[in-house]
Amino acid sequence: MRALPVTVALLAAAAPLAGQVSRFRVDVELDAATISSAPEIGSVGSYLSGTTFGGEGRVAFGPVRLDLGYWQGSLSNQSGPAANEDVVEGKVLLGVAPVHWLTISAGPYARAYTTPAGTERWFTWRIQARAEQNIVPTTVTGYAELWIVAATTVNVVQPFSSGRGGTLGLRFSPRRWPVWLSLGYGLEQIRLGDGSRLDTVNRVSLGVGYSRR
Amino acid sequence: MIGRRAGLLVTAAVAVTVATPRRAPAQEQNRLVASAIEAYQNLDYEGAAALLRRALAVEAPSPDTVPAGLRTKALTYLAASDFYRGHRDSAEAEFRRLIRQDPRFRPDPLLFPPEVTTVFEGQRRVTKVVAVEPPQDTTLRVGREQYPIRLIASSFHEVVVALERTDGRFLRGLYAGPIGDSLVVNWDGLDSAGAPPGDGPLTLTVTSRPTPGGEVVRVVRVPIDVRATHADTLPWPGLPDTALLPERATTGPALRSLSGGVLGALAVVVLPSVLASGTHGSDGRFVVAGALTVSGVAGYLSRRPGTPLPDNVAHNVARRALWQRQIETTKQDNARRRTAVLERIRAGTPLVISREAQ
Repeated sequence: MRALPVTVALLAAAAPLAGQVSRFRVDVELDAATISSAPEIGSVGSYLSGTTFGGEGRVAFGPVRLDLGYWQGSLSNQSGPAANEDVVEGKVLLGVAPVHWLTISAGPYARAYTTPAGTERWFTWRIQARAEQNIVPTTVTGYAELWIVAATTVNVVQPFSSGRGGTLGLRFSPRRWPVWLSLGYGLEQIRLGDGSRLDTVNRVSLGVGYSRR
Repeated sequence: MIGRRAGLLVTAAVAVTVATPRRAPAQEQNRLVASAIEAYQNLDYEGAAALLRRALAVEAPSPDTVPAGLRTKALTYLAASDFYRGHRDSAEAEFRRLIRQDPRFRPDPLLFPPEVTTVFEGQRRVTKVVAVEPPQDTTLRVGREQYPIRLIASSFHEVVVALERTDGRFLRGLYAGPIGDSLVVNWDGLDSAGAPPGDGPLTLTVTSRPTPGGEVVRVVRVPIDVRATHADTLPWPGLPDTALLPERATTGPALRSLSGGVLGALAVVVLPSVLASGTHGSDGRFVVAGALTVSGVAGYLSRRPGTPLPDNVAHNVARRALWQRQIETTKQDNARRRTAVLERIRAGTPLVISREAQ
């Protein structure tokens, strides 16, 4: 839980810089993602892949942002001893945008893997920076998200060591279209027990979204 | 009996006055007026009148040297004393003198009985004087604002208010008609032809007549100095270079688009090795990298140097139109300012010309 004070401090530091445009905006996105998970315990590794479906929403009021997301799907074992599992993910990130192209946010990100043997719950605190840049004027915007995992609560024996991840992608939103398409690739790796256990998740997502100002 | 008593009091008063060491004139006047009022209240009108005449004459060839409040008080008691002494003509003359000095003056009915105030009212009705009170120093916009000249009359009569040049040439008639208690006459700063009179001294004259066309009984002449200035014009609004956007694409944005797409694609490819060394990323990331590369190239082509930028052109057209409107507004404002004349008007001390001595 040490992430909570860090989160509050970051938000407090960023708030005075926050952009000065007072505008209300709502983005909603439905997406599908192919996920591959590669847990590695000691020298034993597994590889699972599958598909998740879900949605993400963002509410912006001036420089303040609130990101919410939920996905669920199932992963099939491709190699190794791991069993097939269902996966459910969710996030709540609160952030500010000091400048229009940068958002700094923080909050919890939860993931649960359900197998016939039980449910493995990962509850992480994430601190994230997101930058956007216009690539094709008024049509294509590229974005990059990088985050660190500040704390994790997970019901396995190994204690949390570190974690980080990132997503890169683009959003295709022709002028005067309220609907946009997005394509992104993301990766996150969390280390437990000083590297005795690694959990790596890859994700390629395709989404369709709607914006309202 | 009364005459003997009065004589004794006068003698005593004179003796006191002579015996007293020399004092400052104001102190002397105050003391004499106080003694006179005491004598008046003791019904010693002879003594009171003598003391008051001395007070009005102390170190003063002209009664103007006596402070105005004290002088008014002394004259009022002198008139009342003379009235009770049977010198009604003197009392009337003193009341007329009071009225000429201050047309608003009225004796206090709590201090003076009705027979005295009746005499005063009779003189006020026949004395036709007016006090002129223009603003001492003011500035006005010629033709738009007014220069208010306040007139206070002793009683109902006819006045003619006019402006003249110092050589006597008529400049502008401001008012001709009756005045009751008071009247405000306005001047818009223009002459009779509707033009500014120009810099220099003028004379404001207020002529009093008892009846329309009657003989002139009094003229008040107030010297007025007029200085004209023009309001400053406003500078024309500028159109700073920073207000306009480039209307054709330059190299920078095109390269930013290309580098954004290509570098983003590279970042996607190397992301697994940067964030999770030893792992292999999903092959699907190459689709994302390809899309970013294509977008970067498309962005470069859409912004290649020399390409017209319609949004910027529209922005500049609107900005230039706004600038033109600001110029038109400034032109109109400056045209108004060029024709607007400010006059600074300073009034001097009024000079009274009267048939009767002040």
